[in-house]
Amino acid sequence: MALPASGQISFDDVIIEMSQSAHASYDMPSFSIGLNGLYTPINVNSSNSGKYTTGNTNIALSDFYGYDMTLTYPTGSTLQDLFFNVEPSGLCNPSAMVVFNAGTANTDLELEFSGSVSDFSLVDTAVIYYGKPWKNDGSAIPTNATIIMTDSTLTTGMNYSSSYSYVYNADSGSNIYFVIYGICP
Amino acid sequence: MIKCRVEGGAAPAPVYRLFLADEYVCDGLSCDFVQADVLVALQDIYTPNIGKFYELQAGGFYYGLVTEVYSGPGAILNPTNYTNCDSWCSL
Repeated sequence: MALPASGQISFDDVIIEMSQSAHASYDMPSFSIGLNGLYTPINVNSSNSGKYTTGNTNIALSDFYGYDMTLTYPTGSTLQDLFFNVEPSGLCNPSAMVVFNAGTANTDLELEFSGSVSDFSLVDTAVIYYGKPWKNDGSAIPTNATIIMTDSTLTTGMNYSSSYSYVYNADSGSNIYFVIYGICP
Repeated sequence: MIKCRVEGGAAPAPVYRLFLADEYVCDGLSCDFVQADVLVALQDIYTPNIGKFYELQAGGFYYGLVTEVYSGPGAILNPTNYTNCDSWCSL
């Protein structure tokens, strides 16, 4: 459920929507960048553009008006952008994601995850998951999520393209998550 | 910019229900009967209304559903329907 587009929102509203996390800390600079290990990745779906902060200072609650953690892209040939929402001077260890809804029918999928050396210059690890890749406290990988691909050797960029035999199960849901975890910029 | 894509997983092929139908054309004011027992198909996500009139998806003809059948190729219909075939002629 998205945050409202206007009006009154609380810190609790924002922290829950930004992180889908029960983590108790109101560490706004950290959850606004999806600080890896404590909070969940920022969904940079194009429909969320401008609905989250692009830095870690002077953050206002209104920066998050309309943000929707659950936005997904449909499967298809369109390449979708994935990026950190922090400026180069931002905090360490951000994480960001785009999410694709693969539906409930078993099928073969073609997955692509690509970028140049400079695209990945601030990325420590790139991962594709089937199933939501965080627990309710924002940490670790739940047992019902699986890693399809992980790559931490990004010094030459990445051009991952591979087929994936998608087998839907209700516990994992229908989403494929592409996540980037950052270094200290 | 880093790019991501998941391709495939397209929606499964649509499933159709088949019907025998009476075929009509519109003469500009009202429907004229052409022939009976034409096989038509309506996607199964729509609830069929026997006795109501549907437009051929490709256009040009209108069909009053008579009865459901379970085999054979059918001409695909749009889901919009009217109680009276003449309603199509006034559009």
